[in-house]
Amino acid sequence: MRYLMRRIIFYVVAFVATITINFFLPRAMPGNPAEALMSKFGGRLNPLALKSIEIAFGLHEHEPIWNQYLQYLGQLLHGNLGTSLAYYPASVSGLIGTALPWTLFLVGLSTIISFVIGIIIGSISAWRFGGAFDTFMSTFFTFTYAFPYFWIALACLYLIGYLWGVFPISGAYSMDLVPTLSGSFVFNVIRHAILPSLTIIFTSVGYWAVNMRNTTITTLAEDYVTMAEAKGITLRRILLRYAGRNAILPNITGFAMSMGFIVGGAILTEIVFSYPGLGNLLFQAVQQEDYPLIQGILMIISFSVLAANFVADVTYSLLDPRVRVGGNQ
Amino acid sequence: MTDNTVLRVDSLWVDYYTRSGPIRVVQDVSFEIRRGEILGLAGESGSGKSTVAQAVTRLIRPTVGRMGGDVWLQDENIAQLDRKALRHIKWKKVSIVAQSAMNSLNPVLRIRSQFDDILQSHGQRNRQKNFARMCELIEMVSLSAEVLDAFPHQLSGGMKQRVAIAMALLFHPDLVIMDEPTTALDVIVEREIVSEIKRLQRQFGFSVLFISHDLDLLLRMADRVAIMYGGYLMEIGSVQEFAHPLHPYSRALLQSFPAIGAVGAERRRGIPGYPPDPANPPGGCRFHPRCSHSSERCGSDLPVWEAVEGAGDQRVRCIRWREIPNESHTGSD
Ligand SMILES: Nc1ncnc2c1ncn2[C@@H]1O[C@H](COP(=O)(O)OP(=O)(O)O)[C@@H](O)[C@H]1O
Ligand SMILES: [Mg+2]
Repeated sequence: MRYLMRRIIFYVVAFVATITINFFLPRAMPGNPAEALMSKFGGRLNPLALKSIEIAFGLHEHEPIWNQYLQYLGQLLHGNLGTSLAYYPASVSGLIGTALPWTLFLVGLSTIISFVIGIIIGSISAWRFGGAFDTFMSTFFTFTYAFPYFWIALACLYLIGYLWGVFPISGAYSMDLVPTLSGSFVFNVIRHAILPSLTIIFTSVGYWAVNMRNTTITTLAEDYVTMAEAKGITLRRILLRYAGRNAILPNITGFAMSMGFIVGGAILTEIVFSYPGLGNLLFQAVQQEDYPLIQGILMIISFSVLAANFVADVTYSLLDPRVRVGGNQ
Repeated sequence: MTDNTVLRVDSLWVDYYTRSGPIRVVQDVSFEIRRGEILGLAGESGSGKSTVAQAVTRLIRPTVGRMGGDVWLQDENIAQLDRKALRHIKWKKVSIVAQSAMNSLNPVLRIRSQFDDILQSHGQRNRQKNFARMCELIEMVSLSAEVLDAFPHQLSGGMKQRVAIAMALLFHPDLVIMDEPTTALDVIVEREIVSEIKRLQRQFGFSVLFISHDLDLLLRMADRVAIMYGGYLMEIGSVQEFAHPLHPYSRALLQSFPAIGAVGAERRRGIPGYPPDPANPPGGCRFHPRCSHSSERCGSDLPVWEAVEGAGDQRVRCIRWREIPNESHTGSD
């Protein structure tokens, strides 16, 4: 538990550092982006929006900076990330709140599926090291890994979506539907998610499979696996409890890291398939120089990276007793 | 084979696959172990001792290497059994205490679960009975039952090795193979473990194949000793017979260790030269390039595994053993 306490303190410090940097960075930027914005939007924005830019970029020259910082922290505590410029008068937190669930659903689920498939394929490849399955998979993954993502995405979009018309090619659900929790709506959402999800899985599964294959090969050479065979332990137990359980440990960290990057990590997918997630929102925000929105999304991304790392630490310590106890006694 | 023989290895060979093709690391190895006997297997590092241990228990994975010859565990030829039949014999008839007990336990499972895995894999599912058996074994190797709830990293090297020994005795096997069980331990713990093994062996009467590079240790604890060099057995005989070993390599090996009771741990005479490279072994006798008695014929003729007449079942692999003056090389005993 002392291990977890140390980690928690680390994450709290890291988070405070993140929001602090988030506060000071725009104020330290050369060329004063805020003034540029003011002149760009100045004529079209109402006074409230202007005020939100002022707060976000610290144009209250009469306020001491630490005072501004405290105000900023206070706003954050209330979940207030300011007002969007491009989607005025929508609040940044409101926009993020609408987009985030779609990203978590699409990219999160795809990453989990990709991880699980990759781990299974990697284990089998390692167990049948040098065999037909292993050779085929290794070649196949070299191929998928080398392919540029947008090429795969556009090919899927064109072939499966457009030419064959098997799956819808854009959006998270049909525009003529009203979001409810009905069966037909859920089915519609899943149909829309399949194509983008396939492209994510297709391009990322190789990474997990290759990593798992390598860690499993290393683990299979460990004495405790050989000894488990000598003990006449059933193959199933050896695969799961001796080889698999140990080989997956190094992959957990990588998995959690990628879970952290889910939030901002599938910008390309969301753009190609016009998916209303956070990546798409960030893209729009950047295009329209919507600084409060960019700032808000970047903060959510850093927060989710930290949170994912924390989850990784907890999981790791649950799976590896050596970490749990904190070294030799 | 008589009832008295627990293990009979006949013309065993093992190849490992390497980048440059298969290399033979064990060749023409034949020996027997009798009931209740400790056979010591000595030899320099890399001579193939662990490979013999793994071949005898069929632990050479098909992706790593191949083996041939016969390995009779009583009436069953291990070398011929299919994987399924093999699994049921493993640990019940023959068990192993590995070279590095440090790494032979699964780091993420409690000792108790690791006992459970073995018992359940062999169809013993009664939790209470299983637990009682574990406690019994753990106490047998002079540990307390709390050890069962520990993870391997929480135990000292000596404790882990005791756990490994307890596991090896789980099903009362006829044969326990111990591959350098004390090499990673300090001298004091080594002594404790060795006497523990001797005690258990006397109590339960199992046979032991005790592998070590420490010939002195083997001469102290074993009934018979076999000497391995470059993948071949060079000599086998009783401890008494090893007071006057026949093979020049056995003599050299004996001389390279401090004598029993010698003051200080001073090394006597090392063997000049290097062990053979299994990828590119010398022709004839593997030892001839380093042998102080070698003749021209030693470099071309492969010596056979020859029984020494009138000497129990002492065997030697040297074409010149009769000609070499039989001086005593055992030093200060
Ligand atoms: N998995 C392997 N692949 C290739 N060569 C191996 C492998 N394991 C052992 N060897 C080689 O086989 C020889 C015998 O090794 P080993 O049986 O471990 O010797 P010992 O136990 O006497 O030290 C050595 O030359 C070693 O390098
Ligand atoms: Mg060895």
